[in-house]
Amino acid sequence: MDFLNDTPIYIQIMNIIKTDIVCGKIKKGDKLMSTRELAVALKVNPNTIQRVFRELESEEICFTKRGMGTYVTEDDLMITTLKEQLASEKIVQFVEGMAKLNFSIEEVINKLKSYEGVKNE
Amino acid sequence: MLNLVKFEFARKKTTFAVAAALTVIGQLFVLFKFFQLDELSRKAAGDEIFGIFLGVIMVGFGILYFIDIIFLFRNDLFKQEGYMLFMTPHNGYKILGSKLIFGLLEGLAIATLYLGLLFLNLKVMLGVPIDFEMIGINGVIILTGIKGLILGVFMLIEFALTVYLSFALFKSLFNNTRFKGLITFVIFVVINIVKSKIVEVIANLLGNNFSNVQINTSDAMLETINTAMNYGLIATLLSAVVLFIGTGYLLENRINL
Amino acid sequence: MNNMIECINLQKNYMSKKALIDINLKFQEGKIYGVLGPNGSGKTTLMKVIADLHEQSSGEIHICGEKPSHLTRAYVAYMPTENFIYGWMRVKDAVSFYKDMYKDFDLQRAVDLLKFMELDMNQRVSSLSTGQRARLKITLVISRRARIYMLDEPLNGLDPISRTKIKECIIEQFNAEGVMLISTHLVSEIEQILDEVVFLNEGKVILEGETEALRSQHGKSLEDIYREVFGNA
Repeated sequence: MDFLNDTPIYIQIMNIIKTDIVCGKIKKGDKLMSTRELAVALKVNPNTIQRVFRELESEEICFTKRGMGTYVTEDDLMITTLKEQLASEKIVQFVEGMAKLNFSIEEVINKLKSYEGVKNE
Repeated sequence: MLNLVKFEFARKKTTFAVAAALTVIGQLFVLFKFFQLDELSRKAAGDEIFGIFLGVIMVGFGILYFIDIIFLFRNDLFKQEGYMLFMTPHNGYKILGSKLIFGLLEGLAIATLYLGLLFLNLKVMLGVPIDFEMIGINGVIILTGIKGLILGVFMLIEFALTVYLSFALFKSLFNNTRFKGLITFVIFVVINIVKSKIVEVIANLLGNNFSNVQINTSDAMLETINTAMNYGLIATLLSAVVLFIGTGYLLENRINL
Repeated sequence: MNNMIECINLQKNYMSKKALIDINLKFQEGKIYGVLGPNGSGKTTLMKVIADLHEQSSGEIHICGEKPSHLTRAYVAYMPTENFIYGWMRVKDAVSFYKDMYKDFDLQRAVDLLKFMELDMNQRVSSLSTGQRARLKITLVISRRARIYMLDEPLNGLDPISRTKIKECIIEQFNAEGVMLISTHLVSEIEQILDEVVFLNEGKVILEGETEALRSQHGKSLEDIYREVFGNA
């Protein structure tokens, strides 16, 4: 798995997992792969995965059952909040990216509408 | 230690097999030649064939054995493969010791094989029954013989260790420069010179008993031989011990493999 | 956290050069360290001195509190760059050698790894390809349940599939009570696996630290930092 250089790897992995949870690839209450399995799959240091799990746990997105593994939260509210969070981040990225190209917010909204129109044809 | 010796044997599997096959073939060939001759010629030619065969085998085995002993240590010390052995958690003394033990066992096997061939061919070719009384052997001679054998073994070990020490010194002083063979040989010669100097010094200290040799009776001759052998045994043993400790020390502490 | 390996004012001189100059390093348990640098920088020498194959000129090395000796070799698993397996052996002979000589050798693991590496027990070592030899080397070393692993250029000269297999192998064996040192100059291949790195150049430590910290600090991948430090090495 190739990672970007501008963000710590553990954060990138956390985002992948968060996205998978929000879009349903990983369902609530699912058991995540073990530290070792995930490390081998992504070709990263197991300590990195441990950090991922720790951080996800501190954000209450996952929890660990001793001796059994790490599980996704069953809390629907948590997952909805997560969805909103990820969406906000994406929007910020998008708008800032467009602003760099000198588009105003109105121009951006118009572009989005015409994109939607084209899509529906 | 045992598994180190076992390993040395495993290494030589093919060589042993080939050597055994060649010996068998050689023996069969010679027997074939022998039995091709008619009854009369056999008696005469028997001596020749016997002599040549056993002579060649003795020289052949001897040379191969000595070369083998040398390369036993040399290969592991100077080739990359040797890392496999030296990375094991055995100290240098153990590794050295296992090689010596293997060398002795190999020598024993070769000697036994040779004696076997000797007796076999004696019987077949010369029709000589093995009768010890003929040779007038008694207890003293047997004892002397055994001492001689032990001395021979000590000398073999001592020789091997002198060679090994030369290799070890080369590796610690010169590491991997060129002219390995030449420099090692020079070191070997130097060690031998040192050894003979030491012998001289000690002999002088002990007051030159060796100049008095009585050749009156064969019994006295035996006695002289025995005495000489006793000195020989002690000297060779001491020398071997010193060489062993020296080589082992270099192996453990001074050599960059 | 324990320091499994400590080097204090370590010096190693050969006749022709100073291979290690004033090395002060600590390697802690539970981590995978990268020892990075160009050829001749001292990576191999460092490992060989810790593995008790070479003698240091001065300074101290503590391996779990002990000095390097044949005793430490019992729990230090070193994989040199050299072809250290006897050519006359078959794969099964090499495995049985390791089993005989090392108490911590796990035979079942070796068998499983050999299958994973697609190596056959009856093959002659002398007839193995470069990739196969490298896979055999690492199988033997990693099948030991050692406390310290040192892999010298484990990925060199290998095809992508062999490299991936070896990387997976390394991650799989990771053990929180052990420590692993990997030396390489193929940085991009391995940076995701390294907890911390040490950069060596001409026998000296010129940079060390946690991988993530260095990446954040410099805003670059480890490989780019390497290029920066060694200037197009």
